[in-house]
Amino acid sequence: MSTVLELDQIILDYPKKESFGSFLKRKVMRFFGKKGSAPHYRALEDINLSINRGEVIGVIGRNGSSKSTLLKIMAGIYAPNQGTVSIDGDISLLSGVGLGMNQNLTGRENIHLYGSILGHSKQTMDSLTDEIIQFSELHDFIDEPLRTYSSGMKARLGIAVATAVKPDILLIDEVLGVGDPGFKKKSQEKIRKMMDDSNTVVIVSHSFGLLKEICDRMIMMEKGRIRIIGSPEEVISKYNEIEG
Amino acid sequence: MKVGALRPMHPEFSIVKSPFTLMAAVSSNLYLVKNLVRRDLNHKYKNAILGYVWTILEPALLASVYYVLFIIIANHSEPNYPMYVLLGVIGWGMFSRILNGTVNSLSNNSGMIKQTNIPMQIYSLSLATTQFVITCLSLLIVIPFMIHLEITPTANLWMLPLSIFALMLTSWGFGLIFASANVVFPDLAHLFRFITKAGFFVSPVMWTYEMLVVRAGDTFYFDIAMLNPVVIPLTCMRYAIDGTTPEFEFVHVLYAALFPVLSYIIGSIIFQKYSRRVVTSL
Repeated sequence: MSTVLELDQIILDYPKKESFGSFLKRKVMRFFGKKGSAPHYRALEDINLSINRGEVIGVIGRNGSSKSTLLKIMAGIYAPNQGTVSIDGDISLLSGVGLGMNQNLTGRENIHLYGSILGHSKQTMDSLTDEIIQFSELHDFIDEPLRTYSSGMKARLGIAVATAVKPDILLIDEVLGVGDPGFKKKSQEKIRKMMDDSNTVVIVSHSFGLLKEICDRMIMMEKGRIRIIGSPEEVISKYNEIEG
Repeated sequence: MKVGALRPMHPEFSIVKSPFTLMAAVSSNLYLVKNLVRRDLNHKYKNAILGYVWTILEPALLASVYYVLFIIIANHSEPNYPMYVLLGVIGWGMFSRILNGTVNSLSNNSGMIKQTNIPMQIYSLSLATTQFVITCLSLLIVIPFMIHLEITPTANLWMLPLSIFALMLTSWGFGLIFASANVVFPDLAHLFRFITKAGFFVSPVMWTYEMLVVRAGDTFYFDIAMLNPVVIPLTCMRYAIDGTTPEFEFVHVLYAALFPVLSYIIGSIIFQKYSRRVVTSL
């Protein structure tokens, strides 16, 4: 089976705030040949991972364990300080549903705006518009400005656009809990359908039941490192053991 | 599904390729640029009762103020002067808004940058395009002036789009040079706000190229003033409307032509090298 995403020796640092005096001092020291690095904390360390075509990978870990950062490295949003990320195919990150949508534009205009932000062409969005409207159940309001929508309606529109895509590699960052219970169920079904279509999926979630059901492998993150990689049963049982 | 070899997510930086890589990313995201421009124009005008009329009304109101100030109160001998000032204000306004907006483009879009992998130059390019559209609409106010002053359009009109493009490319390119640094040193945004405020007075907005030639034509200060890259584009905007044939020195024309191109090339190289690195600082 071919590899579609590979992370090799990844290190990512987040810079800490530095005073101008300390910055200047560091630069002067460097000028005189003394090594010194900018203050930082390590978000990801020694990440090595190969994901094969067709795999569904679940990522779990405590809050702050760098699960979302790992997805952002995979999506190419963050460039690693060290190491390389290699990819074969299109990649799409589902995160922050409805990002960049505008209150003054109509629902229909926002479908095109959000779709283009997610990297889709006009042709793709034209062909998907009817499907998106149908899925969001917003037929009667689709030509009204977004400011007239309730927060639930906005979420429905956002997730309808976000889930209309069929990328080669799909990254999902805890977006399964949007909308009312009925729509939430519908969204989860749609995302499962996306997983079938996309073949390769990396999903961050706290829903262990769902992960156990859909994942081929799971990763447990701890303090920016991969603590365990293994079968869902193995990783979840280890996580429960550690977390008590 | 595409099947092929693994390729690096962040290709190796190349000085030579940078200007082309930047443009390639822009050309493959034109649909996104169009949608972002529409969003920004809507945000600016849709809630106002007069909507897009404000793009013309604002310079029209300014023009009436200049007319009262320069023709009625100051009794300026040049009847075209209020129109010159208006053209200067429109051109300089676009230049300063694109420059400040580009310098702030990463900081102002941090939310989207941290959630999507849109090429980051798209944010500043959509802002520059929005300002370009607003400028084109604002320039319609010149038509009543031309009718009132009995100015007939000449072949010199070709200089208008070229001058606007030169101003746009200079401000975008120059802004790209500092956009990444502004994320780490936000003081730069304050510095650029000051530079554009001061630049209003050292650029031919309230004065004209002819005034500069008369007052300082034979001095060292003339060459210093001509280092300002907007002098020739702003003057050409005026010449395009009133039909004056430009009589600049060749070296100044060459400088004015090279400055936008070099700004873009240097801006694209620095932006390509540093913009992705500063995302963790946003």
